[in-house]
Amino acid sequence: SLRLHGTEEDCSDRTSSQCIRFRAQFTAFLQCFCTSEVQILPVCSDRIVLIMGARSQLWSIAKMSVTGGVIGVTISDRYVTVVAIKGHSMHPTMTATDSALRGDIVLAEKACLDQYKFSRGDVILFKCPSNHKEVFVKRLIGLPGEWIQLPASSEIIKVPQGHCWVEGDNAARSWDSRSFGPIPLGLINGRVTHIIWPPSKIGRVERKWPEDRIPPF
Amino acid sequence: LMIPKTKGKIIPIEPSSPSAAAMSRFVRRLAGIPWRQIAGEASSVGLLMAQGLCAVHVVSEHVLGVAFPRGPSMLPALNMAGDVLLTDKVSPRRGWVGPGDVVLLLSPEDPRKIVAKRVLGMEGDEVTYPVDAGNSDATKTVVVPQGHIWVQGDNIYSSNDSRQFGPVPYGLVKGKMSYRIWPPSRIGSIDSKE
Repeated sequence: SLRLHGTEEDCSDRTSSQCIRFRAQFTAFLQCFCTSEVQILPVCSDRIVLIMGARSQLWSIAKMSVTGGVIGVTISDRYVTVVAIKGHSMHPTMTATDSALRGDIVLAEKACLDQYKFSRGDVILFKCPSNHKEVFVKRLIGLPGEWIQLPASSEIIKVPQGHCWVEGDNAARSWDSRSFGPIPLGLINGRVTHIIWPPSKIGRVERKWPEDRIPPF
Repeated sequence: LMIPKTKGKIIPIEPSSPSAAAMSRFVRRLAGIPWRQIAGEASSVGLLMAQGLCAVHVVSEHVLGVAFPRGPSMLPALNMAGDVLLTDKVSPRRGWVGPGDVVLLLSPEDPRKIVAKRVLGMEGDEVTYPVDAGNSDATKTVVVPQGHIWVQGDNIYSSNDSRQFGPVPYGLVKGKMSYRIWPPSRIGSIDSKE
Protein backbone atom coordinates (compact mmCIF):
# COMPACT_ATOMS: atom_id res chain seq x y z
CA SER A 1 0.00 0.00 0.00
CA LEU A 2 1.06 3.57 -0.57
CA ARG A 3 1.64 5.75 2.46
CA LEU A 4 2.10 9.48 2.12
CA HIS A 5 3.61 11.40 4.98
CA GLY A 6 2.47 14.92 4.38
CA THR A 7 3.36 18.30 5.61
CA GLU A 8 0.60 20.62 6.68
CA GLU A 9 0.33 24.32 7.00
CA ASP A 10 -0.68 24.26 10.58
CA CYS A 11 0.68 21.18 12.33
CA SER A 12 -0.79 22.24 15.58
CA ASP A 13 -4.29 21.83 14.34
CA ARG A 14 -4.29 18.59 12.41
CA THR A 15 -7.94 18.13 12.88
CA SER A 16 -8.91 21.40 11.26
CA SER A 17 -11.51 20.89 8.60
CA GLN A 18 -9.28 22.35 5.90
CA CYS A 19 -6.57 19.81 6.58
CA ILE A 20 -9.07 17.00 6.64
CA ARG A 21 -10.59 18.11 3.35
CA PHE A 22 -7.18 18.46 1.71
CA ARG A 23 -6.21 14.99 2.83
CA ALA A 24 -9.47 13.52 1.58
CA GLN A 25 -9.14 15.13 -1.82
CA PHE A 26 -5.51 14.23 -2.22
CA THR A 27 -6.25 10.65 -1.21
CA ALA A 28 -8.98 10.44 -3.82
CA PHE A 29 -6.65 11.90 -6.46
CA LEU A 30 -3.87 9.41 -5.74
CA GLN A 31 -6.31 6.50 -5.53
CA CYS A 32 -6.95 6.92 -9.24
CA PHE A 33 -3.40 5.86 -9.98
CA CYS A 34 -2.92 3.09 -7.48
CA THR A 35 -4.53 -0.31 -7.52
CA SER A 36 -3.94 -0.79 -3.82
CA GLU A 37 -5.16 1.36 -0.99
CA VAL A 38 -3.77 4.86 -0.50
CA GLN A 39 -3.41 6.21 3.01
CA ILE A 40 -2.24 9.69 3.94
CA LEU A 41 -0.97 9.89 7.49
CA PRO A 42 -1.05 13.31 9.10
CA VAL A 43 2.51 13.52 10.28
CA CYS A 44 4.21 16.81 10.74
CA SER A 45 7.44 16.65 8.81
CA ASP A 46 9.54 18.78 6.54
CA ARG A 47 9.18 16.84 3.37
CA ILE A 48 6.62 14.79 1.54
CA VAL A 49 7.84 11.23 1.17
CA LEU A 50 6.17 8.95 -1.30
CA ILE A 51 6.76 5.33 -0.48
CA MET A 52 6.06 3.49 -3.64
CA GLY A 53 4.99 0.01 -2.62
CA ALA A 54 4.04 -0.23 -6.20
CA ARG A 55 4.89 -3.81 -7.03
CA SER A 56 1.42 -4.28 -8.43
CA GLN A 57 1.95 -1.29 -10.72
CA LEU A 58 5.12 -2.72 -12.22
CA TRP A 59 3.45 -6.10 -12.60
CA SER A 60 0.50 -4.74 -14.52
CA ILE A 61 2.79 -2.64 -16.73
CA ALA A 62 4.85 -5.76 -17.44
CA LYS A 63 1.72 -7.78 -18.25
CA MET A 64 0.44 -5.12 -20.63
CA SER A 65 3.73 -4.80 -22.48
CA VAL A 66 4.11 -8.58 -22.89
CA THR A 67 0.55 -8.85 -24.22
CA GLY A 68 1.10 -5.93 -26.55
CA GLY A 69 4.38 -7.38 -27.75
CA VAL A 70 2.86 -10.80 -28.45
CA ILE A 71 -0.06 -9.32 -30.37
CA GLY A 72 2.29 -7.02 -32.28
CA VAL A 73 4.57 -9.90 -33.28
CA THR A 74 1.59 -11.96 -34.46
CA ILE A 75 0.22 -9.12 -36.57
CA SER A 76 3.66 -8.42 -37.99
CA ASP A 77 4.14 -12.08 -38.92
CA ARG A 78 0.75 -12.76 -40.47
CA TYR A 79 -0.90 -9.60 -41.70
CA VAL A 80 1.08 -6.39 -42.12
CA THR A 81 4.51 -5.16 -41.15
CA VAL A 82 6.46 -1.91 -41.32
CA VAL A 83 9.92 -1.78 -42.90
CA ALA A 84 12.46 1.02 -43.32
CA ILE A 85 14.21 1.11 -46.68
CA LYS A 86 17.98 1.03 -46.75
CA GLY A 87 19.78 1.01 -50.06
CA HIS A 88 19.19 2.77 -53.32
CA SER A 89 18.16 -0.05 -55.59
CA MET A 90 14.53 1.03 -55.84
CA HIS A 91 15.08 4.71 -56.55
CA PRO A 92 12.93 6.68 -57.39
CA THR A 93 10.02 4.55 -56.22
CA MET A 94 11.58 4.31 -52.78
CA THR A 95 14.60 6.15 -51.51
CA ALA A 96 16.91 5.68 -48.59
CA THR A 97 19.23 8.03 -46.85
CA ASP A 98 21.99 7.38 -44.39
CA SER A 99 19.81 8.24 -41.45
CA ALA A 100 17.20 5.57 -40.70
CA LEU A 101 14.55 8.14 -39.81
CA ARG A 102 14.69 10.06 -43.04
CA GLY A 103 14.66 7.09 -45.36
CA ASP A 104 11.38 5.83 -46.72
CA ILE A 105 9.21 3.66 -44.50
CA VAL A 106 6.85 1.22 -46.20
CA LEU A 107 3.99 -1.07 -45.29
CA ALA A 108 4.26 -4.69 -46.38
CA GLU A 109 1.45 -7.23 -46.32
CA LYS A 110 1.89 -10.89 -45.49
CA ALA A 111 -1.36 -12.32 -46.80
CA CYS A 112 0.37 -13.12 -50.10
CA LEU A 113 2.53 -15.71 -48.29
CA ASP A 114 -0.47 -17.96 -47.84
CA GLN A 115 -0.57 -19.22 -51.42
CA TYR A 116 2.57 -17.56 -52.81
CA LYS A 117 0.53 -16.04 -55.64
CA PHE A 118 2.25 -12.96 -56.97
CA SER A 119 1.85 -10.79 -60.05
CA ARG A 120 4.39 -9.36 -62.40
CA GLY A 121 5.47 -5.92 -61.23
CA ASP A 122 4.84 -6.48 -57.49
CA VAL A 123 7.39 -4.99 -55.15
CA ILE A 124 8.45 -7.69 -52.70
CA LEU A 125 10.62 -8.12 -49.62
CA PHE A 126 12.86 -11.17 -49.53
CA LYS A 127 15.85 -12.59 -47.72
CA CYS A 128 19.13 -12.31 -49.57
CA PRO A 129 20.13 -15.75 -50.92
CA SER A 130 23.73 -15.34 -49.84
CA ASN A 131 23.05 -13.87 -46.42
CA HIS A 132 19.86 -14.89 -44.65
CA LYS A 133 20.07 -11.99 -42.21
CA GLU A 134 19.67 -9.27 -44.88
CA VAL A 135 16.30 -8.35 -46.34
CA PHE A 136 16.07 -6.87 -49.83
CA VAL A 137 13.26 -5.03 -51.58
CA LYS A 138 12.97 -5.39 -55.36
CA ARG A 139 10.38 -5.66 -58.08
CA LEU A 140 9.18 -9.04 -59.34
CA ILE A 141 9.95 -9.34 -63.04
CA GLY A 142 9.57 -13.03 -63.79
CA LEU A 143 7.15 -15.57 -62.31
CA PRO A 144 7.85 -19.32 -62.07
CA GLY A 145 7.89 -21.04 -65.43
CA GLU A 146 8.19 -17.87 -67.51
CA TRP A 147 10.80 -17.08 -70.13
CA ILE A 148 12.31 -13.63 -69.69
CA GLN A 149 14.88 -11.66 -71.59
CA LEU A 150 17.88 -10.35 -69.70
CA PRO A 151 18.05 -6.58 -70.17
CA ALA A 152 21.67 -6.18 -71.14
CA SER A 153 22.27 -9.14 -73.41
CA SER A 154 19.79 -10.81 -75.69
CA GLU A 155 19.81 -13.96 -73.62
CA ILE A 156 16.53 -15.63 -72.87
CA ILE A 157 16.27 -17.68 -69.70
CA LYS A 158 13.53 -19.69 -68.07
CA VAL A 159 12.62 -19.04 -64.47
CA PRO A 160 12.52 -22.47 -62.74
CA GLN A 161 9.46 -23.74 -60.86
CA GLY A 162 9.18 -22.35 -57.35
CA HIS A 163 11.55 -19.45 -58.18
CA CYS A 164 11.19 -15.86 -59.35
CA TRP A 165 13.29 -13.19 -61.05
CA VAL A 166 13.66 -9.88 -59.22
CA GLU A 167 15.18 -6.60 -60.33
CA GLY A 168 15.47 -3.19 -58.72
CA ASP A 169 14.00 -0.09 -60.35
CA ASN A 170 17.37 1.65 -60.21
CA ALA A 171 19.19 -0.70 -62.56
CA ALA A 172 22.56 0.95 -62.10
CA ARG A 173 22.68 0.46 -58.33
CA SER A 174 20.75 -2.71 -57.82
CA TRP A 175 22.22 -6.05 -56.83
CA ASP A 176 19.52 -8.42 -57.95
CA SER A 177 18.74 -11.51 -60.00
CA ARG A 178 21.07 -10.30 -62.74
CA SER A 179 23.87 -11.16 -60.28
CA PHE A 180 22.52 -13.95 -58.06
CA GLY A 181 20.02 -15.56 -60.39
CA PRO A 182 16.40 -16.49 -59.74
CA ILE A 183 15.48 -16.78 -56.06
CA PRO A 184 13.24 -19.42 -54.44
CA LEU A 185 9.78 -18.08 -53.60
CA GLY A 186 10.28 -19.38 -50.05
CA LEU A 187 12.68 -16.52 -49.36
CA ILE A 188 9.95 -13.91 -49.84
CA ASN A 189 8.95 -12.08 -46.68
CA GLY A 190 6.07 -9.94 -47.90
CA ARG A 191 4.70 -7.61 -50.57
CA VAL A 192 5.09 -3.85 -50.28
CA THR A 193 1.77 -2.07 -50.69
CA HIS A 194 2.13 1.48 -49.35
CA ILE A 195 4.73 4.09 -48.49
CA ILE A 196 3.90 5.70 -45.16
CA TRP A 197 6.84 8.07 -44.72
CA PRO A 198 7.81 10.78 -45.73
CA PRO A 199 4.43 12.51 -45.93
CA SER A 200 5.14 13.79 -49.43
CA LYS A 201 5.33 10.24 -50.71
CA ILE A 202 2.43 8.68 -48.86
CA GLY A 203 0.40 6.46 -51.15
CA ARG A 204 0.11 3.08 -52.77
CA VAL A 205 3.08 1.39 -54.37
CA GLU A 206 1.73 0.48 -57.77
CA ARG A 207 2.35 -2.68 -59.67
CA LYS A 208 4.44 -1.37 -62.52
CA TRP A 209 6.15 -2.92 -65.48
CA PRO A 210 9.47 -1.20 -66.39
CA GLU A 211 9.28 0.58 -69.72
CA ASP A 212 11.29 -0.70 -72.64
CA ARG A 213 11.23 -4.18 -71.15
CA ILE A 214 9.76 -6.95 -73.19
CA PRO A 215 7.11 -8.72 -71.12
CA PRO A 216 7.80 -12.39 -70.48
CA PHE A 217 6.05 -15.20 -72.25
CA LEU B 1 -40.14 -11.37 -17.72
CA MET B 2 -38.36 -8.11 -16.94
CA ILE B 3 -39.95 -4.87 -18.06
CA PRO B 4 -37.36 -2.13 -18.58
CA LYS B 5 -37.81 1.13 -16.71
CA THR B 6 -38.08 4.22 -18.87
CA LYS B 7 -37.33 7.71 -17.61
CA GLY B 8 -40.67 9.43 -17.24
CA LYS B 9 -43.97 7.88 -17.87
CA ILE B 10 -44.47 4.42 -19.09
CA ILE B 11 -46.85 4.67 -21.98
CA PRO B 12 -48.81 1.50 -22.39
CA ILE B 13 -49.45 0.52 -25.96
CA GLU B 14 -52.85 -0.97 -26.53
CA PRO B 15 -52.46 -4.05 -28.69
CA SER B 16 -54.97 -3.94 -31.46
CA SER B 17 -54.95 -7.63 -32.36
CA PRO B 18 -53.67 -10.96 -30.97
CA SER B 19 -50.63 -10.98 -33.27
CA ALA B 20 -49.77 -7.43 -32.32
CA ALA B 21 -50.04 -8.47 -28.69
CA ALA B 22 -47.62 -11.32 -29.29
CA MET B 23 -45.24 -8.93 -31.07
CA SER B 24 -45.22 -6.49 -28.22
CA ARG B 25 -44.61 -9.32 -25.74
CA PHE B 26 -41.69 -10.48 -27.87
CA VAL B 27 -40.24 -6.97 -28.08
CA ARG B 28 -40.51 -6.57 -24.33
CA ARG B 29 -38.76 -9.91 -23.86
CA LEU B 30 -35.97 -8.79 -26.18
CA ALA B 31 -35.56 -5.52 -24.36
CA GLY B 32 -35.34 -7.39 -21.06
CA ILE B 33 -32.25 -9.36 -22.01
CA PRO B 34 -29.12 -7.74 -20.54
CA TRP B 35 -27.50 -7.08 -23.93
CA ARG B 36 -24.82 -4.77 -22.64
CA GLN B 37 -23.68 -7.27 -20.06
CA ILE B 38 -23.60 -10.09 -22.59
CA ALA B 39 -21.68 -7.94 -25.05
CA GLY B 40 -19.19 -7.01 -22.35
CA GLU B 41 -18.60 -10.62 -21.38
CA ALA B 42 -18.38 -11.77 -24.98
CA SER B 43 -15.84 -9.13 -25.86
CA SER B 44 -13.67 -9.89 -22.86
CA VAL B 45 -13.76 -13.62 -23.62
CA GLY B 46 -13.02 -12.87 -27.25
CA LEU B 47 -10.08 -10.69 -26.29
CA LEU B 48 -8.73 -13.41 -24.05
CA MET B 49 -9.04 -15.96 -26.84
CA ALA B 50 -7.26 -13.63 -29.26
CA GLN B 51 -4.42 -13.15 -26.79
CA GLY B 52 -4.18 -16.91 -26.34
CA LEU B 53 -4.03 -17.54 -30.08
CA CYS B 54 -1.37 -14.87 -30.50
CA ALA B 55 0.69 -16.44 -27.74
CA VAL B 56 0.40 -19.87 -29.37
CA HIS B 57 1.48 -18.39 -32.70
CA VAL B 58 4.50 -16.63 -31.22
CA VAL B 59 5.68 -19.72 -29.37
CA SER B 60 5.17 -22.17 -32.24
CA GLU B 61 6.76 -19.85 -34.83
CA HIS B 62 9.67 -18.46 -32.90
CA VAL B 63 10.46 -20.81 -30.03
CA LEU B 64 9.33 -24.41 -30.21
CA GLY B 65 6.94 -26.09 -32.60
CA VAL B 66 5.72 -29.56 -33.48
CA ALA B 67 6.13 -31.33 -36.81
CA PHE B 68 4.53 -34.43 -38.31
CA PRO B 69 6.89 -35.54 -41.09
CA ARG B 70 5.61 -37.97 -43.70
CA GLY B 71 7.37 -39.73 -46.51
CA PRO B 72 10.17 -42.23 -47.08
CA SER B 73 13.04 -39.83 -47.73
CA MET B 74 14.42 -39.84 -44.18
CA LEU B 75 14.19 -43.57 -43.41
CA PRO B 76 15.40 -45.09 -41.12
CA ALA B 77 15.82 -42.06 -38.88
CA LEU B 78 12.20 -40.93 -39.36
CA ASN B 79 9.25 -43.22 -39.97
CA MET B 80 7.14 -42.91 -43.08
CA ALA B 81 4.24 -41.58 -41.01
CA GLY B 82 3.12 -41.25 -37.42
CA ASP B 83 6.19 -39.52 -36.00
CA VAL B 84 5.81 -36.37 -33.97
CA LEU B 85 8.93 -34.24 -33.67
CA LEU B 86 9.82 -31.18 -31.65
CA THR B 87 11.01 -28.35 -33.88
CA ASP B 88 13.43 -25.83 -32.51
CA LYS B 89 12.81 -22.47 -34.19
CA VAL B 90 15.48 -20.51 -32.36
CA SER B 91 18.53 -22.31 -33.75
CA PRO B 92 18.17 -21.48 -37.47
CA ARG B 93 17.71 -17.80 -36.73
CA ARG B 94 20.90 -17.75 -34.66
CA GLY B 95 22.84 -19.84 -37.13
CA TRP B 96 23.21 -22.86 -34.82
CA VAL B 97 22.69 -25.35 -37.63
CA GLY B 98 25.48 -27.62 -38.80
CA PRO B 99 26.19 -30.77 -40.78
CA GLY B 100 24.31 -33.78 -39.40
CA ASP B 101 21.26 -31.80 -38.25
CA VAL B 102 17.81 -32.69 -39.49
CA VAL B 103 16.09 -29.47 -40.57
CA LEU B 104 12.71 -28.36 -41.82
CA LEU B 105 12.86 -26.15 -44.86
CA LEU B 106 10.55 -24.68 -47.48
CA SER B 107 10.93 -26.65 -50.67
CA PRO B 108 12.70 -24.63 -53.39
CA GLU B 109 10.39 -26.26 -55.92
CA ASP B 110 7.13 -25.33 -54.18
CA PRO B 111 7.19 -22.84 -51.30
CA ARG B 112 3.94 -24.17 -49.91
CA LYS B 113 5.59 -27.51 -49.11
CA ILE B 114 7.75 -28.03 -46.06
CA VAL B 115 10.32 -30.80 -46.29
CA ALA B 116 12.55 -32.46 -43.70
CA LYS B 117 16.10 -33.30 -44.74
CA ARG B 118 19.54 -33.69 -43.22
CA VAL B 119 22.20 -31.03 -43.67
CA LEU B 120 25.33 -32.46 -45.25
CA GLY B 121 27.30 -29.31 -45.91
CA MET B 122 27.35 -25.64 -44.95
CA GLU B 123 28.72 -22.79 -47.05
CA GLY B 124 32.24 -23.43 -48.23
CA ASP B 125 32.10 -27.18 -47.54
CA GLU B 126 32.88 -29.75 -50.20
CA VAL B 127 30.13 -32.30 -50.55
CA THR B 128 30.51 -35.62 -52.35
CA TYR B 129 27.24 -37.22 -53.29
CA PRO B 130 26.08 -40.23 -55.29
CA VAL B 131 24.72 -39.01 -58.60
CA ASP B 132 22.45 -41.93 -59.39
CA ALA B 133 22.02 -44.02 -56.26
CA GLY B 134 21.02 -47.61 -56.89
CA ASN B 135 22.01 -47.59 -60.54
CA SER B 136 25.64 -46.59 -60.44
CA ASP B 137 28.38 -45.79 -58.00
CA ALA B 138 29.33 -42.50 -59.64
CA THR B 139 29.76 -39.57 -57.30
CA LYS B 140 30.23 -35.87 -57.77
CA THR B 141 31.84 -33.25 -55.57
CA VAL B 142 30.58 -29.70 -55.27
CA VAL B 143 31.50 -26.72 -53.13
CA VAL B 144 28.52 -25.21 -51.38
CA PRO B 145 28.16 -21.50 -52.30
CA GLN B 146 28.04 -18.69 -49.76
CA GLY B 147 24.82 -18.48 -47.79
CA HIS B 148 23.66 -21.91 -48.99
CA ILE B 149 23.46 -25.41 -47.54
CA TRP B 150 23.40 -28.89 -49.05
CA VAL B 151 20.53 -31.07 -47.84
CA GLN B 152 20.00 -34.75 -48.49
CA GLY B 153 17.54 -37.33 -47.30
CA ASP B 154 18.92 -40.29 -45.35
CA ASN B 155 17.17 -42.64 -47.79
CA ILE B 156 19.11 -41.70 -50.91
CA TYR B 157 17.13 -44.12 -53.04
CA SER B 158 13.88 -42.29 -52.50
CA SER B 159 14.59 -38.67 -51.77
CA ASN B 160 14.17 -35.45 -53.73
CA ASP B 161 16.88 -33.23 -52.33
CA SER B 162 19.92 -31.12 -53.21
CA ARG B 163 21.03 -33.82 -55.64
CA GLN B 164 18.08 -32.72 -57.76
CA PHE B 165 17.48 -29.07 -56.87
CA GLY B 166 20.99 -28.02 -55.88
CA PRO B 167 22.18 -26.23 -52.76
CA VAL B 168 19.45 -24.20 -51.08
CA PRO B 169 19.77 -20.74 -49.48
CA TYR B 170 20.00 -20.89 -45.69
CA GLY B 171 17.03 -18.54 -45.47
CA LEU B 172 14.71 -21.37 -46.43
CA VAL B 173 15.46 -23.27 -43.21
CA LYS B 174 12.54 -22.92 -40.84
CA GLY B 175 13.42 -25.19 -37.91
CA LYS B 176 15.78 -27.82 -36.54
CA MET B 177 14.42 -31.16 -35.38
CA SER B 178 16.38 -33.16 -32.89
CA TYR B 179 13.85 -34.75 -30.55
CA ARG B 180 11.04 -37.18 -31.18
CA ILE B 181 8.07 -37.28 -28.81
CA TRP B 182 5.94 -39.98 -30.51
CA PRO B 183 5.70 -42.99 -30.88
CA PRO B 184 6.57 -43.82 -27.28
CA SER B 185 8.89 -46.65 -28.29
CA ARG B 186 11.17 -44.19 -30.09
CA ILE B 187 11.05 -41.16 -27.82
CA GLY B 188 14.41 -39.44 -27.74
CA SER B 189 16.97 -37.89 -30.00
CA ILE B 190 16.89 -38.60 -33.70
CA ASP B 191 19.84 -40.73 -34.78
CA SER B 192 22.55 -38.53 -36.10
CA LYS B 193 24.72 -39.66 -38.93
CA GLU B 194 28.44 -39.83 -38.34
